[in-house]
Amino acid sequence: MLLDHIQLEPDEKVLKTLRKHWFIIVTQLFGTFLMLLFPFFLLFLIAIFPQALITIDFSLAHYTAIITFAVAGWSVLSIMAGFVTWTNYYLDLWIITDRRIILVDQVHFFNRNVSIFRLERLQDIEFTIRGIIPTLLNFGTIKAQTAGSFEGNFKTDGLPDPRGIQDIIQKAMDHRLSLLHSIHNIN
Amino acid sequence: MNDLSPFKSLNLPIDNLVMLVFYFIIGIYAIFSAILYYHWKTYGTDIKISGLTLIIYFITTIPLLIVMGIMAFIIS
Repeated sequence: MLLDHIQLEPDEKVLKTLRKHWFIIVTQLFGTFLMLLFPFFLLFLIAIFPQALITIDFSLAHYTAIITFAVAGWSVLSIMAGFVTWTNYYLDLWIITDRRIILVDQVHFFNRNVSIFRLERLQDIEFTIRGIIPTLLNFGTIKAQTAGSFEGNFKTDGLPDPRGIQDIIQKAMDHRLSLLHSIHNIN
Repeated sequence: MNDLSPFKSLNLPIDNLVMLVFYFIIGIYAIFSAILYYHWKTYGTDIKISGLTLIIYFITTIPLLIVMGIMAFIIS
């Protein structure tokens, strides 16, 4: 499992684990669903407009086995495409701990980025909710800038409740900075 | 009896073609399943979701492959 691979520091607590909003996966899987329905739609058209196929001497009844074979093959490939979408969605992950933000970006099967941003290096966190559906369903983009030039900035689209996430990160940042400040003063 | 098959007129060995497509899809399916299994076992965060995903994947695809196999043998 993933959390066995990500080594948390001693006493590091996971505050929140989140994925993109459900609307994102629903819209992506809807495309796969339409792809799955395509041969049935085609067969339906052939069945209701048989006269259009008279010129090529085509009859559905003659090719039942081939059509069944083709539809089954198409369905297998469509389902596989659907599982690629689901895998890319589910394995894309944000882990917010009391010390870091770990971003796991599953671009596709052979492209996986894991970025770690320390809270004390975060400078500016902003969120954007743009559009009717994102506003109604409360999802949007979170963008953050870090102080370290080697870490860079990060931006993720389609995150649920961006205001809440910003709040969690801000509180964790403040807590982390005050903790580091008190440790520094003791030393 | 008149055979109106467009494949016959093209002289296309449809039975060989169907078997070739079947073996090709089986090959792709085997490789894809191994990759999918590896990803969910390695990078999954919840063992229940990983298990459920793999079960649904195999439940939905294996019957279709069986249908494809039966049809391929009927055609050939």
